[in-house]
Amino acid sequence: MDNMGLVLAIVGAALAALLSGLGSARGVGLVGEAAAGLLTEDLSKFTKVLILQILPGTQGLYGFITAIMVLVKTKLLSGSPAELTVSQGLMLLGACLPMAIVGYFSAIAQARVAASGVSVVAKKPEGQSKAMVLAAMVETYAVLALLISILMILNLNVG
Amino acid sequence: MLGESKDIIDYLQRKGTVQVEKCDAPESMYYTDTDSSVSQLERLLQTAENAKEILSFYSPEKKKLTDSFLPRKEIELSAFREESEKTDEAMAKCREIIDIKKEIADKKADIIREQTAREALVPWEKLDIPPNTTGTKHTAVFVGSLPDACTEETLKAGFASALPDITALECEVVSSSNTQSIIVVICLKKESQRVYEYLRSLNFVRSSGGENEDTKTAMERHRKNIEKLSADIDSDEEKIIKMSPYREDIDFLIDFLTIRKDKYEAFKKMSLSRNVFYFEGYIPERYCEKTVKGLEEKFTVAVTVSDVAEDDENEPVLLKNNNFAAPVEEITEMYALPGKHDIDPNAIMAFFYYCFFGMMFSDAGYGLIMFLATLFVLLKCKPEGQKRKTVMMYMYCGISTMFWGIMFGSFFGDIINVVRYDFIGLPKVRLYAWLDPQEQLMTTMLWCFLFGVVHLFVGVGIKGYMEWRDGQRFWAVCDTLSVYLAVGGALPLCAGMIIDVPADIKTIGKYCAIAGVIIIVLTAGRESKSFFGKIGSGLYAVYNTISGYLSDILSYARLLALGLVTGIIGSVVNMMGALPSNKIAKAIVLAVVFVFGHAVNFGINVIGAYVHTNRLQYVEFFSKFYNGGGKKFTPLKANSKTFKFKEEISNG
Repeated sequence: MDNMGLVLAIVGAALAALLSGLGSARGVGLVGEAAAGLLTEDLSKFTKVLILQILPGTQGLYGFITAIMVLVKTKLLSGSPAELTVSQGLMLLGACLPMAIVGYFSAIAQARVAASGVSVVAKKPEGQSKAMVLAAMVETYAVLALLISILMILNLNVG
Repeated sequence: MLGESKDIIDYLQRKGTVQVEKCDAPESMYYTDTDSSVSQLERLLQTAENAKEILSFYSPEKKKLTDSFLPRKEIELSAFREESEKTDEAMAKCREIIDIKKEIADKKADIIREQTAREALVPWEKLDIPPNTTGTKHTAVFVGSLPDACTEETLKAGFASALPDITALECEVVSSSNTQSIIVVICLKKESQRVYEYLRSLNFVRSSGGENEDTKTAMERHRKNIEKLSADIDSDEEKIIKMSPYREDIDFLIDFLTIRKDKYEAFKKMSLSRNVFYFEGYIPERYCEKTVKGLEEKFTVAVTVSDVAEDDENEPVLLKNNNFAAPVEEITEMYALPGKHDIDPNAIMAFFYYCFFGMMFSDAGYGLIMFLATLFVLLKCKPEGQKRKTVMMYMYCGISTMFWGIMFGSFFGDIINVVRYDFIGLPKVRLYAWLDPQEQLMTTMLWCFLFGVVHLFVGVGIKGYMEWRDGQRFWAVCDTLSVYLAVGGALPLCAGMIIDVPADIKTIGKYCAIAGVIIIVLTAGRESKSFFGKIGSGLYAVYNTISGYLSDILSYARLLALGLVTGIIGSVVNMMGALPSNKIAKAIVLAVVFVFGHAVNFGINVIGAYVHTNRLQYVEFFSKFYNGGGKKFTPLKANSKTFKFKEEISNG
């Protein structure tokens, strides 16, 4: 197998973007449904619920960033990809996993909180910021996963 | 005096400085029940608000983006009274609007009715005689429906086999579908009985059309009705749209009713006798002198001012801060207003708030946009009250974002280098003034933790100050010092795992940490009664301190993470824009991708920065010292959306 290391690294990048993106898409969709339900009653709360809807979308971004970091690290973007050994490739793949897996699950968990936040806004519009903070509590773990993934990717010696 | 009571309440409401409280009525005084007036006003308010909603549905208000920041217009008291005269007219207009709206709804229902009736006639459309035709002098006519599909042939074949002797028979199928066929059968009158019986056996239902008109005429009639109703609805809508000049009057009416409702609600809390009326309330010290003087000059009153009782649990809270700290009051209020024993945290929080927001948003370009936009709103629209504070908050955050953007070297991502390198061909330059978070990741993270430690230590310090203030000076020193020593001492040890720390400092840190831990073990369990209880609680406190501060400090990693997100996505946007190799194509693509990409990045990250800055204040900072639980000062005031009272100059 030629350049198996690179293959593994790209699988890692793909997983990070893929799983986090999936999680965020499901999450944003979930909150969006709840938000649309509220809008049938009161259109004026659109901006308030829109912000809640965006919240679980950040995991997708974090996954995207992780993937980009791998692409930069492997010099794939510059057109002449680095030669990676299998173990280097596996290391990059492993480094992507925290963001990939935590991203997926935290996006959905965060979406649940945000969707409940939509019902907070329905009953008490002034509680929107509180609902936002509750949802942000979940995001902490996505932030930590992003950090650890980035730390590992940047500090690995590759090519 | 009772006679002046209304004027006095009006005066206080205009000043908006007193929170009226329900008090125990002095003997021989009574309360008036204003509930019925309040609920009547609420009903009127509902009507006016409905009318406003209907009006803005049919003739939406044209608003510029900046309009919502404009201050309310100032009006003189005399102008207010003049306008108040016109509220009856505005109310009448509101009722008119609602009536028209009702008519529109009725007519819309009528249209649906007409449409249904017309659709029911469609199968009968080809019938050229009235459906209720029964026959002529010698013939009988049966018009009606069969419950299934049929053709003229099957029908005639049926007749031929069932009634072979009847030949003078004509039948026609007007329309046919799987569920219904409309047929016409003509026969001689003398044979009609037998024909009808046969038809009945086929489940024939005779048409019950009552009117003596053929189907086409009937359908035409329905069509015309629908047309007329639609035209009526159009003209009704036109009528509502013509009401739009009254929009301002209706807005005023809503404010006018709100003010009166609030007044009656306050009036409920005041006690009366035959000649005098009496009430109590809270007034902030800073408004006290002026309000009392005003009251005494204008009315026959006796005002007594006293300090709030020490044990008064209902004492309301009104925050007072300078221009730098006041903008974050709303953030604090969202968490909780300071309770009776708290200090107002806004002044200290404001600095950290702006600073952390800037670190997370950390792009000089975005900061510049934020600063210019908020400055524009401030200067152009001159917003007032809470809106002004919010705009100010984002202005300070914008300044801080610019500062950190320069520090971390991000201006719309790395657009400066993209333009230099890809367009002009110059080498890339160093953009950051202090640290490049992407290259010096660990160093930046340590700095973030250090900012976090400072933030937390300030919180602990405030807690210590509060204990000192309450007379527990010894414990204040113990609690504060122990945390400073234990956490501060552990810092060089932990940092030593990542960067080189001189051995001497590590040693000093080690002893400090040990000293801190000893103080915690000895003092933290002071509430327990037995000796072992004290030591047990002390040890538990050590565990809590270590795990608590560890997770608190790690939490500040989000400063770096969110800053990185802004920077990296910004750079990726620029990179995608610069993909084409042809310079002209590159410029065009970059321009489009740049505007769109950075707008999205701005939007997402400004929300992220806001939410996570709040979290750092609420969870990490406030938990160190802040109790909250204060009640907001809600004075009797003119809660008007469209105008405010001009400060009265003369005593008129």
